[in-house]
Formats: sequence, structure tokens, C-alpha cells
Amino acid sequence: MPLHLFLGDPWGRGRAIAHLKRRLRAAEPDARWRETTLDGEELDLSQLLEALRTTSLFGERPLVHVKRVEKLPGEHAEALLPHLERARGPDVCVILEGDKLDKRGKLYKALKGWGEVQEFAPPTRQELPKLLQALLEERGLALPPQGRRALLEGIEPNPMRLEREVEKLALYARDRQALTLEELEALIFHDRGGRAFSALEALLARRSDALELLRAALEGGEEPTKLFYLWAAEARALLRAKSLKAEGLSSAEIARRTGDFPWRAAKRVKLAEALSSEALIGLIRALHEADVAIKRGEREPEEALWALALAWLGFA
Amino acid sequence: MAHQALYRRWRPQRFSDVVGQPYAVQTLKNAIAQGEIAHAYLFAGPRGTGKTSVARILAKAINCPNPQGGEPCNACPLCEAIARGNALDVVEIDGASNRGIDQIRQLREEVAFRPAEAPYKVYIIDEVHMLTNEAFNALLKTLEEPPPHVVFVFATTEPHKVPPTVLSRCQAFEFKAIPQERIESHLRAVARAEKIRVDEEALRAIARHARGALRDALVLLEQLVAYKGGEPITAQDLYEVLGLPPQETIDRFLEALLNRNGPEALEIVEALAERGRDLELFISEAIHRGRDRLVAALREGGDASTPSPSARAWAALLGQLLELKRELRLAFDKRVVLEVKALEIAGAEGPPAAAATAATAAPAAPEAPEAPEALEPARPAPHTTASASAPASMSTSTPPPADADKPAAPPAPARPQAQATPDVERDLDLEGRWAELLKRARRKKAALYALLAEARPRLEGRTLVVEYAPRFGFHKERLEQPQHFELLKQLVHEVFGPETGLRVGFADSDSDSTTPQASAQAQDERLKEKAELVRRVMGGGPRARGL
Repeated sequence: MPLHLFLGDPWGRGRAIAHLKRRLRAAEPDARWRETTLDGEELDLSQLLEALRTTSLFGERPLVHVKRVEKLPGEHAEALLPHLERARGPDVCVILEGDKLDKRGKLYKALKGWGEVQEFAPPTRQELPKLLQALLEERGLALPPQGRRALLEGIEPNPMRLEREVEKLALYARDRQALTLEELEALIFHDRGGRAFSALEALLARRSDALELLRAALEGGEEPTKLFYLWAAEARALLRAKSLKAEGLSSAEIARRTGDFPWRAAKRVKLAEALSSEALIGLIRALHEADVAIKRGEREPEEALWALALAWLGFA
Repeated sequence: MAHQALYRRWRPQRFSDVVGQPYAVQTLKNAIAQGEIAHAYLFAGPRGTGKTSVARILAKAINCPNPQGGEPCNACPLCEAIARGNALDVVEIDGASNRGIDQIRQLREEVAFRPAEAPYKVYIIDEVHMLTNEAFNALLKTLEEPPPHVVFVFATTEPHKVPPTVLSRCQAFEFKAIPQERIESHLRAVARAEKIRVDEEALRAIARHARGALRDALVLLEQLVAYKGGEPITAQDLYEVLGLPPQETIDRFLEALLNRNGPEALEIVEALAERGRDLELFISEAIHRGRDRLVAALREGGDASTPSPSARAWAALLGQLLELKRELRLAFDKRVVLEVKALEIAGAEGPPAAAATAATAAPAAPEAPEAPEALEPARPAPHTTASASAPASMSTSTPPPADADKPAAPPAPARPQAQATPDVERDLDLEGRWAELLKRARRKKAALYALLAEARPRLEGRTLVVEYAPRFGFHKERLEQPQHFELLKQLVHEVFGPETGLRVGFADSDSDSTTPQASAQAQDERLKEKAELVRRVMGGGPRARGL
């Protein structure tokens, strides 16, 4: 099939495109492809036509890869159609990719009729552990279960980030094939908190090491304002877990409903059970008040955070 | 040869010279040794932790023709050119001043060209989080399909401002704040090599004040070298250079508050003010120190739900200091506010101070008054809203009166003490209530608070006289305007009781119009009076101790 449209999650479509190119080359090992990459946002139609029509002196076949297809101006998309229709022979391959494309648009409909359309949804948190396992196996690396959880919780649910992290861990591990929790903690680049999460978890559970972790997070360069946001988000997540539990849902069902990792949902349910709804609502309110005080210039964010932590722990 | 700053002379030239980042360094060395070089790196972390230095070492290591186990040789012309900053193929860009789309477009055009002399063209973009959204989008296109001869290194102190689309295309490393003991040992090595005479206490103090940033520590050390001109450096010199109070003073202040030793707290404030110290900075340092003490007390034992008396005492003090800092931020006369609040804290109800003092390795504290739990608060505590048993109602701000329209119950009178005379009680009561009135005024109307901040209160029978020095005539006139006067009257009723009258007038003399010496003397007298009041009420006496 000479025409391909790949839409959706960049990691999924990136892998699929790489696979397609490998397949093309493997199908006819003697055939050579001349690859031209173009950007939909800056596309000059003449460049595309040139890439499609120019006959190579060395008999290379044209492989045209248009990225960011959703950014193609409407008139270009329409003007493109007759050329794409003609470029359907076996000696040419056109790959178009983008985040999304209007399914009612002429370009989408035409490509759907003439070629192959593949759409990729970003993996859910339920699917990420399996993906991590596959990436680790590719690299021949082993992580303890707690380490895997720490990695998945530490980064955004983004497979590309996960791949980069695994690549980095494998480089560090070199031939050892296994990493300790301490090494993981030091190596993971936390998108959402990291040490901040440990501090918030300890604070919410009113653990004795909460203030020490909070201090470590702040001294390690965590933004106090980010901690506010994370703390409020965590309090809201606990409230939600608590209400779903009250509806009679199990931890696994709550994980599915909230799109959370199963182990984290279970942890939240357990923590939420130890706190009253009033306490959590009060915490969110206090966070809001502290936020207002910061914005009015009455308080430094770090000081407001400490005052709030002391109050939450029952010291104030 | 031109003078080169210490931190530049001691900038690491090899991965093994980098202090405090073993994991990032090892990973990069392995990557180079294995030939697995990523096309984009992100180095994130606090300032002075080695991000740019590691980026430069990386640039050398990947381009060096004779790398040794992932390290650059530092001897070839390329390594030398990169170290000097004049290599054609290593481009350092300040993201803060080249943040627009045009600069990034230009960069995109440049990356297409092959490197001039090195195998890789390395672009180090510092403070990358400062790029505009459009610039990031333009950069993203290059990152999606980078030419094989290009390596980007982004450095940032604020990684959360880097778009996820960019972040996900980088191999990202967190540069941690460098532990104090590592900074200390590095400073020791630098001092030895540079023949700088510096005592151990000073090294510790510099490392502590650098707060994880090695560059800051080296800059501080160099400042001290310049300040002392070859003489041995002590910790005291650091405090002088930074305008900070010595740690010992902070400890004495905290212990004075914990031990209810108001006079000593006042003495410390007075000495700081006389030396022109920044009082807000002093309280910030005290908060930091209090935080460390609290964490240490919690670590020593107990649960956050059932903390030890020592931890509870430090936590209460920390809460009060945080509230004090909040008030200082808005205060016109920081010294007065600090003095009043210090007296309040020293007189506030709390757990036994002895327990807290015992938990620290602090200098001997004055004898603590007995059974402080039995004391009633002299006036409303600085932060009284949060409740351990009812976190739902927790709040960090001092709450407004339960019902703004309804006069709140006046604050509790000064606590009864065996030796307290009625005059002393009345004076303490007036000060406390006036402070409370100011607090409420600030919440209700900042303009009223600003007018009252220059006034002094006096009780004439059942009438509160708000007095101004003659030079504050404008303030007096404004306060007498109905919109201010009526609100003040309402506050006076709330705080002093509904039967209290109100009058605004001029004081007999304007102490500020006298000579500076006389003014300082008057101020001194006032402080001594305050200290005497506290001494008479609480027992004990001021201790003569220099800063």
C-alpha cells in the first residue's frame, strides 16, 4: 500500500512508521528508497511534487514523509489530492502523520479510500506497566517491583518519556542488568514531584518524617508553588477515592474508573479511609487560603507551605 | 594574566572532578564509552550544581579524539578550545536573552550545516525554560528529526516550564543540591590548594549558607578572601560580609523565646538593630534554624501524631515565627513589630521550654519558668486557628473575628502573675490590645493600618488616646476623617470593650525631631522599659551577652 496516514499518540505512530519503513526495505532488499521529510506547517507544494516526480538517476524510489499533516493549509490539502491519487503505484510511498485530522475533511476521506489509516491512542496507566516490561526486556534490564512503580509514578504517562528513562537507566546499569532502589531514586527524572510526592504522601499520612521530607524536597530545589498544586491535587484524589469507596467500589474498580495505577489507587483508598472528608475539604480550603495569601504578597510560598504543614500535622 | 574568579578556576574539567552528581556523571560516561549519545539532554537542578560544567565536559568528551573511559583528554586542541570557550562547534546560548522564535529559527538553519572541526556540533542552551512557546515549537521540529551530527544540551533550574513534548525527546537528568559535607570538603581542598587560611567553622558556615550550590560557596569564599586581604578567615567574617547574624545569635534568640526570656530576646533585637542588620532576614534565618531544630526533634523520637514535648515546643515556635515573618513583611517599623511579637511569643502559652532546650545541643539556656502550661496567653496567639483535632477547620491565616459585625470578645487580659503590679499589667495589656487592633485594622483596611502605624496609644481613664508626633499632622487629619475614625472606633470597641472612648491628638513632644543621639537614647529607654516590664512580670533578668 503506497499511501499511509498515521494519527494519534506520537510514540505509537513513530514506532509504527519505523516498522513500516523497515518492512518496505525488507520486502525488496534490492530496491532503494530516496526519503524526503517535509513539515506540514511549512510545506511548499512544489517540494512535495519534486520529491514525488523526480526520477532518480540511480533508480531510487521516492519515499515522502509529511509530518504534522494537521497543519497543512486547507488549500494545500486539496491541491495535494490529485497528486496523491496519482502516486499510488508500487514504486512510491507517501507517509503522512499528525496528531489528528478532521475526519470529515477531503484529505482524510481520500486517504482512507486510497490507502491505509492507522490511529494510535496514548497508552493508559493500566497498559503502561506492560509497556515498561517490554522496554526493559528490549534493554535486558531488571528493576525491582517497587522500582518499576517508582518509575511509573514519577513520570507522566507518556511512553516516549518512559523509553528515554529506560534508555538512561540501561546506560547507567551497563552490564549489571539490575538496579537498586536507591540508584533508581537518584536516576529517575521526576516529571511530577518526585521528592515532593514522598513529602506529600508522608504529610497526608501525618507521618513523623513528613517535615524532614518536606525540607529535603524544598532544599532539593522543588518549587513550593508546585508543591501546593500537587498537595491540592492529591487531596482531591483522596476525596474522590473516598467517595468511590463509599459507593462500594473495590480498589481495582477505582483504579479503572480514575485511570490510576492499581497499586496507587489501593494506596489512596487506604489513606483516604484514615482521613475524614471534612479534614480533606478543610485541607483544600486551607491550601486555597494560603494561595490567596501568597498572591496578595502576604507570604512567601515556602513559608506558607510550612505554616500549612504545621497546621495539618496538628502542631499549630 | 587577568584575574579569574575562583569558581571559574575551579570549574571541573573532567567528569571525575564534578562534585555531588555521581549518577548523572556515571551515566554520561557510560553513554560516551558505549557510543550511545543521545541527540538531546536536559540537565535540571538548582543553580550552582554543575549543569553547565557537565554540559561543557560532555561537549568535550563526545568530540575528543582521545577519550579515556568516557572522559575527555583535556590535552587535544579541541578539548582546549572548548575549555577556552572558543570552539566553533560548541555553541552556548543563553535562553533568557535568546528566547524568541527568530533566534530559534536561525539556530534551526545553522544546525543543518556540518560541524567545522569536531565530530559533533553541540548546542548548550542555558535557562531553556525561558524560551517562548513559539520558540519551543520551532525547536521541537529540530528535536523530532535532529541531524545526526547535532547534540543539544538544555540546562534549566525550572524543568516544569519545559513543555512535555520537548522533555520527552530529551534524556533528562536531575542535578541534586550538593550535600553540605561535600561542599565543605571541596572548599577545604580549594583553600589548601590556593593557600587560603580559613578556619573549620568558617568552612562549615560557608557550606551551610551555600545551600547546596557549590558555585555560591566558592564565590563566598572568594569574597571573604578579598574582605580579609590575606588574614585568616573566620565564621564571624562570613556573617559580617553577608550582613547575617551569627548562628549563635539566632540560637540564643530562639532559646530566649522558648525559655520565655523576653528581655534577652529584646536585647538581641536591639543589638541587631543597632548594627543595622536586616531584621526580616534575621527572622528568615531564625525560621530556617527553627525548622532544622524541629526536624531534629522529630527525628529523635515520637510520631507526628504524638510528638515529643520538645518537637511540640519547636513546632509551636516555628509557627509563631512564620506568623511574625508575615507581619514583618507589611510592617512600617519592623523593629517595633519584632519587639512586640517577640514579647508575645515569649509570653505565649506552650509546652515546657526545658524539654525543647534539652533536645538541642544549644548553649546553656536561662532557667525556664515553671509550669508554663498553666499560664494563660497574654493576648491572642499569633496563629490560633488550626486545630489538631479538627483539621477540617484548619487555616493558616489569622482568622477574622467570628462575626465581623458583632464585636468580638476582647482579648484575655494580661495573665495574672504574683508579682505583677496593676500598672505593669495595664501597660502590657495596652500594648497587646494595640497590637491586636493594628492587626485587625490591617485586615479590614490597609489605609487605616498605615495611619495607625505612626501613632502611639495611651489610656486616659476609659478613653484610648491615639497620639501622633507633631510632624504626623497629615496622618492625624486623615484619621479624623469619618470613614477612618468610625472604623477605628468600631475596632476600639471590639478590642478594648464597648465602653472605651476614643480620641485622636498630638503627643506633647516629638521624639523624632530631637537629635539622633537623643532619639537613639529615647529608643533605648523604651526598650529598657519593655525589658523591665517583662522582667518584673515574668521574673528573671536580662543577661549581659554580646553578639
